[in-house]
Order: sequence, then structure tokens, then C-alpha cells
Amino acid sequence: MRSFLLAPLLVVAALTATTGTAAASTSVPATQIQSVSNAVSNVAASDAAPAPGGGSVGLRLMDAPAEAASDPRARVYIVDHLKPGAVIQRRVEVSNTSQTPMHVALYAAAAGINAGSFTGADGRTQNGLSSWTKLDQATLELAPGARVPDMVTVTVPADAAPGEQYAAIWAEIGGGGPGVSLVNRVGLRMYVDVGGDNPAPTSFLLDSLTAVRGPDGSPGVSAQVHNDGGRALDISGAVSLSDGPGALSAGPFPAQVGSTLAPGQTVSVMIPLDRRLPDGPWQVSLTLRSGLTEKTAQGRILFPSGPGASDPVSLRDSLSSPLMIGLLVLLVAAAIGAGVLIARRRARRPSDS
Amino acid sequence: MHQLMRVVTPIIAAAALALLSVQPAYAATSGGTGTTFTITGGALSITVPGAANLGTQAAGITALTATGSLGDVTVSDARGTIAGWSTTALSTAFAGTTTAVPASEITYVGGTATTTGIVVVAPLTATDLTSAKPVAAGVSAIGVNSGKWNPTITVALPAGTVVGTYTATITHSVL
Repeated sequence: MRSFLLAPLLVVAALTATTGTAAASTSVPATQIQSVSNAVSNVAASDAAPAPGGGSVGLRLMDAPAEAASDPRARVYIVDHLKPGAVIQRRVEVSNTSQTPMHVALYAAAAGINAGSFTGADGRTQNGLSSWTKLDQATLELAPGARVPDMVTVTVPADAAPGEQYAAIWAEIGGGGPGVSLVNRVGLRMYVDVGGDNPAPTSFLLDSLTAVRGPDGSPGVSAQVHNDGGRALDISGAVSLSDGPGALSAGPFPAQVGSTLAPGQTVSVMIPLDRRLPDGPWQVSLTLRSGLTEKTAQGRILFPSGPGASDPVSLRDSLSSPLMIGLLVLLVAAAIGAGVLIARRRARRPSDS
Repeated sequence: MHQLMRVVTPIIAAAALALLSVQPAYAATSGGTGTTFTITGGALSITVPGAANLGTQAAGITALTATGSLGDVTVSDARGTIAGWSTTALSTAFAGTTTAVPASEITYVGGTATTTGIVVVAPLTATDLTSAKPVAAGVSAIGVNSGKWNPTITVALPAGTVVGTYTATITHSVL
């Protein structure tokens, strides 16, 4: 009798195991990639000489929160979650690699995320976050080769609305002269989320994959990504092809980084591939990540022979959602339970008659 | 009824466990407690701009264009990450003594870029520089990289533009 109870439990355990491997989200820190590129860049930076002739104005972030040490985005941009009333300070460094002294204007201005890219607003347009941001020194005089720090202070008002806001800190230099005046400015992105104890979740969904061939015949995979979390994403990742014609495999091919998604936005991320690849069909494994959040999905694609796009392959099968799996498990378990009861009743009947 | 419950309860418990185990994973992001660490690495930088001159155009009754090069624009990314960068360009109207040529008449042709390091830079052609338009982006970047391009701008002068010197300010912004 007891053994009948084991059967549904075993079925449930088996289903749980399969859903575990099919689950679409894993959190894998991208620190391995970070450490490789840092090693390469340390070599390259020491070899690089200051640019002859013109030179340039540079801006870099010097401080990041200790909790975000493993997040590659926090090492490049000001990414933070702050409660209303919080005050943070971050140092930035302005550098002059030219042979002449430089007059740099420093200020914070509004920014936004449109059509897959993070762009600063025109001129010195302000928004909430940029108005909370102050720089200790609004102008800096830099001698040739100088590197000077400045302090950025962000003061979140006590009545600040929850949600993520975007701004940029600009270091601007202007050339004079008659005719066309040229002004160049380099910026530091700010992604600041205002809220309570817990930051809004970072999450995204991989909607579909489309095999495309450009007008010049070069193949690529276009992945549609939807930001269903509360924080902006800077998407990067790679595509690997396997199980192709003649048992070929190819990749990984890196995705064109530079796609930024605000919460609620959907964007297509393009992964260009090698022109020498046959049309397929191919098994595609797509891995996209932003900061510490990573998602992987698989699909089967066939490239069109001429320029154009194949039909999109959906990566969000409704049968694989957690709710559907749970309901499926309950149904199967209930069916087995009913079968057990019916078997018991039939076993009892001969004793009644 | 008791028999039924004995069978069904463990099944429901197991199913509930199955539902709980299938959860999306959210990554925790920083909480801003005030402790910071110092980042080592280079800066994102853009060249010091020079001056550009679009030359002289004889006034006439037919619409003319003035074309010129803005000089090399180089973006150097010494941060050594995979962040990449994107550049936009914006212009004011060309103001003369009496009339002005609006920034919507400007076409910015990025041309081709030369790069160092692992990065893909494909400068674009942008029209109507009244608001900032993307002109070049460094994508698929790994490590220290740079991109250099020499943009050409073309200003379509409306017919009957008055003689004089026209000046404008073109801003390149890289993030």
C-alpha cells in the first residue's frame, strides 16, 4: 500500500529535475571575462603614449560601491540604488593628454534610453537626477598631461519618487575660431534607482531569434529582448552554433554591445556571424547578459539563401513557464492519486459481496 | 475521506514544492551603504577639437551647398571593459548677420573609421542635426580600443541666402 505513495512522488521528483535543467535563467557573474580584459588592457595602457598633436580630454570614474565590485557595469558607470534622503559621493578624474593647457567645463545633465542606446539630452537640459547631482568644481584648468579629480555628490530628496533615472556627467572642451566652432564632450553615465530597502529587480526575457542575411550577404542572428525588470540593462553576450550541416559547430560570436534597454522596452540585439557559414539548419545557443544577470536560450534556425530574414523562432514557449509546469505536475499527481483510490475500491469489493 | 486525505496530502505537498522550486533568479544590485572601492583603469576620452571652415560659396539664386571636413574625431576607450561607447552630434543653426541657416539643413557623413583594439566602429550618416543624432558607436568592444573618423558636413543653403559669414557650433558627445 505504501509503495503506491512512492510512485507519484517519484514522478514529481522527475518532473522537477527536468524543469530545473530547462529553466531559462541562471546567475553567472561575468568576472572571468572582466579579469581577462583587465589583464590585456593593463598591458595595452602602459604601452600607449599620449596622442601627439591634438590630444584628448578624458573622464573616468574612480569610486564604486563595495557591494558592486563584481558587477562590470558598476566599474564603468555610476550604478546605484538609493533611498530617499540618501547622499553619495563619487570621485571622477578628468585628464588632459594634449600638449596645451585645457579649460574643461564639468556639469551634470539629463539622459535617456531610446532605440537601444543611452543618449545624453541636448546641451545642459536637466531632469530630476541631474538636478540632484552637484560637482565640486564646475570648471577645471588642466596643464598638459594633468589628471585632476573632482567630487560628484548626489543628494536624493526625501520626497523623491521611486524608480530608476538616468543622467550623465559631462567634461566639455570647446575649440574656438571663425566658421564652425567645435565642442567635444565626454560623459559618464548615471543609472540611479530610488526606492526602499530592496532595489527593483534586474530581469529580462529572450522573446525570439531571427536568422537574417544582410544586403551584402553577411549572416546574422537578431535576438529580441524584453526588459521586464525595474533596472536598465546594458546587453552583451554571444551566440554559439552547433549541429549544423556536416556536423559543423561555430562560435561563440559576440553580440554587438551597446544595446541599452530601459524597463519595459523591447529591442533587437544583432549578433553578426561569419560569411562562410552554410545556411543550416543550425542549433543556436544564445547567451545574453547585463551586469551579473545572464539568460540562455536555444532554438533551431535556417538562414535565408538571399538577403532577408527567416521566420522568427519563439524562445518563450508557454509550456515552459513556471506556472504551467506547476499545473502540469498537479494534474499528473491528481491523476495518479485518483488511480490509486480506484484501485483500492476495486480491491475492497470482493470482501463486500 | 481519511483514506483519501492520506493519499492526496503528500501529492499536494510534493506539487507545491515543485512549484516553489521553479522561480526566476534575480540578481541583487548594490545597496549603497557608503563603502566604496577605487577603480583602476583608464578613461574614456575624445580629441581636443580644432576649428573647421566650410569655405566660401558664391551667393546665387539657385540653392547651393557648402561642404567641409570637421577634422579627425578620435574616441579612445582606455577603460578596458566590454562597455563600448556611442557618439552623437548636434549643431546650432548657422547664424549670419541678418539671416540664419537652420541646423535641419546639415547632413553629417561619418565616412569610414580606423580602429585600434577589438572594436567595431561604423560611422553613420545623420541628417537634421537640430537634436543630437547618433554618428558613430564602438560596439563589440573588448579591452582598450579607439576609433577615429573624419566627418564631412554638408550644409544645404536655401536659395537667396544673404551674403555674409555664417557660424555654428557643432557638439560631439561620447558616452
